[in-house]
Amino acid sequence: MNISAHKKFRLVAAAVAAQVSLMSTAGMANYQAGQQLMARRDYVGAAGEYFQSYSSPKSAQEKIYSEWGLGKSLQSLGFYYSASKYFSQVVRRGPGPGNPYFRRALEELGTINNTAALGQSHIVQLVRGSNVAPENIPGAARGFYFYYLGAESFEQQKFEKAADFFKRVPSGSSYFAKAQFHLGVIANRAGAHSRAISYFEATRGASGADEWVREQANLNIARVHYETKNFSQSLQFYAQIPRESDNWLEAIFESGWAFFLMTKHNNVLGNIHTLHSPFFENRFFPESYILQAITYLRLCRYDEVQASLEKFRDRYKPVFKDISGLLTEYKGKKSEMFRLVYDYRNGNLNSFRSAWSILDALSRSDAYKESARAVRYSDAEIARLSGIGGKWGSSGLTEDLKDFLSKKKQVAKADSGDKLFDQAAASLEYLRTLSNQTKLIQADMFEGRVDTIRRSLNVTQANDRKVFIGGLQPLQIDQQLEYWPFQGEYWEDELGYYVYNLDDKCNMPGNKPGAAKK
Amino acid sequence: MTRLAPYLMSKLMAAVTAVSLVLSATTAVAAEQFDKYEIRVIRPKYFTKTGRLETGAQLSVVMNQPFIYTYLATGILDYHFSETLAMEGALAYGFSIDKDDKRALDSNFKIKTQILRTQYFMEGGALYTPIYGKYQLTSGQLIYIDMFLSGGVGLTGVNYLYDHCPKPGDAADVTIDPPPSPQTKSYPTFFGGVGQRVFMDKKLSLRWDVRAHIFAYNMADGACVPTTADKTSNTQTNITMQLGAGYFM
Repeated sequence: MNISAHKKFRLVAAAVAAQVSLMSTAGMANYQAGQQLMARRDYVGAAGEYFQSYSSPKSAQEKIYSEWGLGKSLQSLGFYYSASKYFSQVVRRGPGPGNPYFRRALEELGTINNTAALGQSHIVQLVRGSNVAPENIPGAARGFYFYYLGAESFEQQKFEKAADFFKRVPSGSSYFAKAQFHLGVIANRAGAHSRAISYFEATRGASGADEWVREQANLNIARVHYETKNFSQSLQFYAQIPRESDNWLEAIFESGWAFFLMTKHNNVLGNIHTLHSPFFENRFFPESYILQAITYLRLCRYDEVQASLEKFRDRYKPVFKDISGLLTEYKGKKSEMFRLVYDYRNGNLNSFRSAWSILDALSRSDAYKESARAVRYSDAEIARLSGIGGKWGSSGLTEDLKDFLSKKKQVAKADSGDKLFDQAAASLEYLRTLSNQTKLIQADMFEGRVDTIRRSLNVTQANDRKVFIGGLQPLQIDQQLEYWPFQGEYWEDELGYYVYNLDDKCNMPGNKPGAAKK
Repeated sequence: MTRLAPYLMSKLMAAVTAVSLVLSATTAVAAEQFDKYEIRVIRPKYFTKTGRLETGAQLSVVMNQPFIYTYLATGILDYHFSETLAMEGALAYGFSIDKDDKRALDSNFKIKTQILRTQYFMEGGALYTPIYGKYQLTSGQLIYIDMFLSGGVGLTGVNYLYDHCPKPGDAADVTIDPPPSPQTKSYPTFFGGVGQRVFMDKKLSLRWDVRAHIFAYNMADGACVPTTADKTSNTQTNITMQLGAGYFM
């Protein structure tokens, strides 16, 4: 418990003391004992006493005070999830004269959510339909409250309403960066690209130590520039995703498309070379083969086009089969998808081996990460309860908290299970679409419709005179470079820096479009 | 070959770092050097030396002396004109310790060995760095290195103690003049060698050098009776092993 929170607690305790003194002291023995223990910082003892008082209150007021005290004592013990149970109960009752701790509980939930993420579904349940007047939301909780209201509307695709909520998140709040990010996404959806970039820039500025938010902002700025055909600027932002990030390969892949539209074919192929390295054999970038094939097609290297398409089929045919089987098996038990991905992540999965690249992608998704965090925190508190629970005797507090934490785990798993199943199904559909594209590319190659493809991709208008070295960086004058030949040996530090050295064969005699061998 | 090979893997290459003045020159160098490779890594150089001053400290040990150990504290100052070419000044000063063999010869067989004790050297020369490379340890850690050749001129100071000379009274039947007083003589020196840097970060490198310091000395300078000594000269080659660190500013 931090000092200021402790002081505030004592102030509130003092404020209600007058009311408490009017009550029957005989019925308040546990509550008063709890307060005394709290003052002595014996939080374990205090929680036990508050729980006794909360479980067998002699009045409605006693239950309210004990509930608050119980939340605070558990929070002071570092049982954040357990404390959130009681604070959430306070918040759910809404503001009013009979609920004096509403504002404080909301603040504490915001604080807890910063320390141990409670999970969006938990918070959205709290704020959904609360219809609390904004003036009743304490300053410290405004960011927390409005951000999650916005997030809920955003998920429901009510973007204008979501934007209204996100705009109410104060700039000093720890939720400000995420709110600005969502505003950027909403602006971009509305076609307001410059405004979107401004929001993403604000996200970068406010992200502080939150690397993930900063990376997402950079990725999205890159995407907006890509959409508006400012490919060089797009690459600048893709290049800011650090190597150790989960987003790095995504940046390498997406920047490959930017290079393609800039007709920097050797850079495209270099990026794909990184994606296809043995280091990333379990990563899911099937579209990279399509990009590789059409890049070779642009260079009139038909044998390589054929090879790329065959590699796609060789690699993803078994994936298609396994992911289809997986979806069939889990259709009636989506909630178990979390366990499946969890087992994959921990190296305990031996089935669906060909679909591991998709499971890997799922294990990096927000849906999985959020639930995995909830399970981890819940398990940690359950383990600690086993150690501390003896001090609470047969009061029932340990069982009550264990029951709550177990349910929280179940809900988290079920929530993410649904989402993970949907994402897996989307991956299957994506593979199906790409498979159809390979047929089109092959047909175009045989029919000699390369020029048609070129026109449809509008590549010639997007050319850029800059020369790019590896790492998505434009070559600088006077820059000192190092060159390493690739001779079949992958070095980890070279990933992302490959550049091919291939000529365009389209002007070679006998190699006109349509010359591909059937 | 995979990166998981059990031993050190090396990737050495001729330094082709493009210290270009114009954009096209850079790409031209790359294109020529790697024309035959379909796939290349092109990236900013990890460690750049051009235009940087390197200061360093080393411990130099003369390796090829049978009767003494010679240790010299060595300071170096380099300026790197480019990634491959640098000029260097070095100043070393130290002392020698007799080996047990020398003492045993004297005490057991009354054999007094005449030796050249190197007290200092000061040299200036050039470094040429044709090789830049990297190692990958089995742990996955990468180590960047370069290898260089060195050559130049300077002075070597030899300290003559005349402790091998008979002293008056050593023999009863002959009159022996007292040996000359200890002195240090300097001789023009040529040196050449090879060395390697291991880059720890963007400023610090560990460094070793093996160098041959060749100088001609006058035989009479070490003689017990200089007036009657043979005045011809002889050449001496000191092979030094130098270990230390360099700091790039």
